[in-house]
Amino acid sequence: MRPLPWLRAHAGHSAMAGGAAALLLAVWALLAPARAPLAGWLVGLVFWIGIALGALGLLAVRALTGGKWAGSLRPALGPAAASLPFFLLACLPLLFGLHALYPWAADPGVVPVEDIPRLYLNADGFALRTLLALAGWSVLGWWLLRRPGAVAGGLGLAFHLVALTLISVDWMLSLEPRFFSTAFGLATFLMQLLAALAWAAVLRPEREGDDPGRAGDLAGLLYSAALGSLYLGFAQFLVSWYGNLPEKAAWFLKREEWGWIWLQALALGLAAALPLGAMLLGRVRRSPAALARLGPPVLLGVAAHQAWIVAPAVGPWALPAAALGLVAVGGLWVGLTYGPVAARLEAKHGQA
Amino acid sequence: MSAPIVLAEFRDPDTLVEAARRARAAGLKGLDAYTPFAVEGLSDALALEAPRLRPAMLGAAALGAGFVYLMCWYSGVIDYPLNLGARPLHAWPVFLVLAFEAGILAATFTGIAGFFIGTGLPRLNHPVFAARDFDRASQDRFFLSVSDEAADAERLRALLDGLGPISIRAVQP
Repeated sequence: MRPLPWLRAHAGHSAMAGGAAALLLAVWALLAPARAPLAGWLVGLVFWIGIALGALGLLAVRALTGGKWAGSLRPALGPAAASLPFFLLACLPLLFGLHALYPWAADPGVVPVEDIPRLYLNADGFALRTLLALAGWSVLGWWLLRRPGAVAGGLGLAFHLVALTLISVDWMLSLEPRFFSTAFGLATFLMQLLAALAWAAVLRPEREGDDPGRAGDLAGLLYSAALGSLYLGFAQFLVSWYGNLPEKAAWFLKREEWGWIWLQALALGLAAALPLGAMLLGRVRRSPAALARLGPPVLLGVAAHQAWIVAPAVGPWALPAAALGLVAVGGLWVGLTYGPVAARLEAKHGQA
Repeated sequence: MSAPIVLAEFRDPDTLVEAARRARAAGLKGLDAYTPFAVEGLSDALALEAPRLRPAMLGAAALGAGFVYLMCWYSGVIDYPLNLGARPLHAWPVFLVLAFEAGILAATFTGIAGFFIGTGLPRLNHPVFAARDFDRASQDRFFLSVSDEAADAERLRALLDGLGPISIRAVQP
């Protein structure tokens, strides 16, 4: 059975597994300090919304540039982009657990400049930005699927980059508000494109008789997304390393301690070295099956990188929580997206 | 004395690919094609040898990157060590960027030079240029060329029957 029909058939199981993992996290949060399970939920949220937003970004680029490359990816990307309203619900634990998870919410004094918590980084602002961005993305997904055009694509990308910069900093970097990196939003954007492309490669949405050149297109996109996110990720490290400022160094030094550096090494190996090396070979680039096998390690590498950003701020318990969070958000999201949402899209647009 | 060259001219790339498949299945040697743009599947149909350009470019990239990294290391650690805010002399994060760029540059130059050499560019003329309308190979026509002792225009015409070539003719080598 091909991956997409398989997911459709197992949507219920997927949602149930996700629900069970979410329940475990909830019990954990009630019985023990809630910070680790909340961080785990955050990792799951960031990873799966990354695939949905990556799909949204690809559809927006496609609406601007045209081209055949996205056509065969649409059965994989369309439902993901249409599923964005789901995250309006999925972000609620974050909003309700704000004071447990984010140090600045409990004590604004941890932010180096006094006016920042007053004017920007406070609970109301966080909730407002999160809800506005998610509502905007939901509308944008609906618009791009219904009426893709240069206006939707252009305005969409402009909104997307601004919203993503704000939200990625709010959700992830503000865990340690003394560190800041201006390229973080853009790096997140590229990593989301990489995740969405790897996801599309795994689902193998191409149909019999599709032009064999499509695999080459997907490989080219995967290659540039992997190279781009590696480049921007490294650039952030390089700028901090060269700037040599205590707050920035502290963020990276914390992520070298204990096993954290190995988590990042795993991420680099799986999401950068492996795809960049394997896709040097022409026979990998031209084979949808080989690209589908590259997908899971790339996705695992992306998740490991996101866990490496979030978990060290909270502590080692955030790591098992992150595994649970990935299953929880993922199970619910995949069940919803590739079950009812995909069925609805197909009914509306035909074999999209 | 090389074999005579027979050219078959087509209107569209798909027919050319089909013609190339037939010629190869018939065991003809010395197959080549001239097209206005890269045609998907053509090199498979012609069974052209894989170009040796990619390994050469990869090797050049490794050499260029390694050389520049060593150069950075030599100047920073041995030749002119300078303590900049207690940063280590072996500043690998910075060296990596330069090495990467140098690798890309070396690969590009090797690729361009290799492309010129591989396509025989210093050579200024080729017998197929004498064929009438051959300049349309860079506009809207697709040519299959066969350079085989066993092939002549008649045999090729019989082989390509049904594909509707615009013309088939021999060119003096």
